[in-house]
Amino acid sequence: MKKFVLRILKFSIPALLFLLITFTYYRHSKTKVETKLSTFSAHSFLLMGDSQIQRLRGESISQGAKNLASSGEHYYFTYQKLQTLVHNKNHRIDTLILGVSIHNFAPVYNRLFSLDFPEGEKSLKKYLYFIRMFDDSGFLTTFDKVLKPAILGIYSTPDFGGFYESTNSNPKKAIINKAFNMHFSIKQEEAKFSDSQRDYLYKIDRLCTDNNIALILVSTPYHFDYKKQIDRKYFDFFLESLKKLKHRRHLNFIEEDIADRFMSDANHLNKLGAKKYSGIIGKKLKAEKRDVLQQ
Amino acid sequence: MLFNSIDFAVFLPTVFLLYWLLANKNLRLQNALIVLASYVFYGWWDWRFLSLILFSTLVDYTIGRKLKSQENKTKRKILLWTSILVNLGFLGFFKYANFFLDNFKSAFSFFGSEIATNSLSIILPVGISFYTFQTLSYTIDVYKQKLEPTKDFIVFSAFVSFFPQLVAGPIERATNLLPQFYKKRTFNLSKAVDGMRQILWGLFKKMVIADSCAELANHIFNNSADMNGSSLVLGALFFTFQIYGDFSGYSDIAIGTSRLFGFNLMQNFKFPYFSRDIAAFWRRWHISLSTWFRDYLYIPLGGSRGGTWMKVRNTFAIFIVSGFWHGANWTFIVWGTLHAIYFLPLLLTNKNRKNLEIVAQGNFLPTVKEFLQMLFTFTLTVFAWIIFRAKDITHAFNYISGIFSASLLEVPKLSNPKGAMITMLLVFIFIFIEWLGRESQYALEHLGLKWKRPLRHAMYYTIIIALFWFNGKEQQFIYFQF
Repeated sequence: MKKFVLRILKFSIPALLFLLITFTYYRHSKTKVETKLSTFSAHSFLLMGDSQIQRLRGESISQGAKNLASSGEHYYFTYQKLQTLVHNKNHRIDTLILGVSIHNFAPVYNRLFSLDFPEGEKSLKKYLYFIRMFDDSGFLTTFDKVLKPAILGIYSTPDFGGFYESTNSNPKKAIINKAFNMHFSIKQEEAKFSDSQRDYLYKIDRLCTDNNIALILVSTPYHFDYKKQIDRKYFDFFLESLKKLKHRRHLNFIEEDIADRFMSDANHLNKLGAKKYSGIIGKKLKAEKRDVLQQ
Repeated sequence: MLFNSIDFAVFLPTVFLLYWLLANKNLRLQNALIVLASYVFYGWWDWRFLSLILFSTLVDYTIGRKLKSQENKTKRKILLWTSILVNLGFLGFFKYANFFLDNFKSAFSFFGSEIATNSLSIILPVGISFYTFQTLSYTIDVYKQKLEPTKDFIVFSAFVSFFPQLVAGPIERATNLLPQFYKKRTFNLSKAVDGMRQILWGLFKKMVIADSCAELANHIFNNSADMNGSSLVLGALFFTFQIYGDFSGYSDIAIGTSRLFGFNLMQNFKFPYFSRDIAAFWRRWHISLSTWFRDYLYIPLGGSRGGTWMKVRNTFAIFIVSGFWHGANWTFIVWGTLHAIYFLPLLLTNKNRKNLEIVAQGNFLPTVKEFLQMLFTFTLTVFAWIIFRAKDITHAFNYISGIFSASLLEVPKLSNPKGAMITMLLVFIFIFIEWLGRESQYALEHLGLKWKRPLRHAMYYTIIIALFWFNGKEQQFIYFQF
């Protein structure tokens, strides 16, 4: 019996060593990541959210603005990133532009927040260094589901986000339909709407309030062929969700009819579109600031 | 509690240590610990199921004792039938009540009269078909005086509820398992190490092969109307390996776990996909159930004695009942019937006991003839699995029609081609390892035993890494629902 237990222990040595090395590497990298992330808190103006906001030119909106948006980022991760940023006592963040759109409440965001799906595993891999290991989010479920994406995440470069420019234009119908299906198709017994997105959106709002950060919600335009396919229920859910954030400025361009040449695909602006809308947002905000100062 | 869960990863070492450290010198304590652990294991699903297993245990224990003291033939028969009716009554109620209700309803509406019935809201207790058959074997063997009934209630409870094989077999015979509870069990290092190896291989079959195949098979079967012929063929193949990996994987874990506690369970699978005819397939697939039906149904019905008609009737009976055992759906009955039809030519030409030995024994490769025989048998089996897996008969018919269409020669349409390629590669590696180990109890039994330890451990680590890296989305063991 003793021999058997000893054999098991001996056999486990390489695995234990690997776990020890991985954990040490994780601790070391986590410190590095948090240090790097907190350097972004020196910016007073930040842009956060998913790939829609990633396309906006921060400099055109406000001088020195930093874009930290990242593709397919669930608000849970935005919230975690923001927490790290404001944790820095010397942070200078006073304004945050947060992307908020109809597709943010679509079923794909449930998958991005669940380790039962490959999308969720990818999220963990990308944002591992930004999250806290023991929170009540329910994202990190069982050990067997966490282990593989976590190990991949530890040895991968974390996604800090940032501005992304696309030169595509006049998207084809197939591309639009593909994006629509990716966002809105429901797999098996999934929920229709992403309640977790709504919860974390409100948490971001509270975090901004607690840290005197002006939160501005921005909805960039959708391609007409994409928009027309969206079920009315999603529009309603979106508007209903934003009711609780009435006190926040919301720049909503979803209803705008936009020419195809400004779009890179179904829901993303291209270089030209980014230039146009970043300019519009920048001007609007400057005008509002001026008005406030004059009053 | 699932074998491939964290719960079990904590449960097993805890029970193992208590069993060998605390209860090592006391057989009664060891048996009591097994009963307690088994009830915890089973109650983990739903504690209400425990009352059922306890009742079944009490009934068969009492009947067993009474059979011992009763010499009157009629009274002995009454006792036997009480056990059969209680056990099969439970099984019938929990598993088949809704099936019969729905079919009565359909039959009445077919003849023009509508009757109002509501389906009953019944939860199927996990593994009921397995432990019911196990306890029945005890009572029948005691009745036939092949076995002395046990006086020890703890021993009998342990026999009925033995957690490694409680919910998905192997369905043990009382003559094999019960005596093991009386014998003093001392820790045997090589047996325990071998058990660990078998558990590892079982987990690989379940988590890597079965669960990866399941994701693809489920997608194809659930969307079969939109799939072309070649995709449907792939779906059937994926299911073929899913069900084998799932069920034989469970058996491997069960046998391996039992070995850790000093028990020997019967081999449940002998590389069935390397069979050269259907008769050989049934000697190698779910052996504990096939032999159960052989001993307690086929032989009492007359077996292969009597005329041709008798043989045919008994063959159909055993296959149809075996199909129905799997679940309350016509698909299972048709699946069983189809296997009876496959089996019939062999039976009528007296070739059903032809390929008894291991294929290509002592050789690395099979002969062309052997290969073609295996391929033919495998194709028949895959075809039958389509019916087994389908939602209903219409679905099965449409699925098969979809295969035999012009789209059979098209490129398969898969939602996750990369995942499918990886799964296919894993299945090929799996078949290769199974082929190498086909002369053993399980593929990994002797593989690498002569290698140097670091190399052998590297192989085990590769399998462990595969468990984490290539595991599919966790699926319930298929046979739990049976």
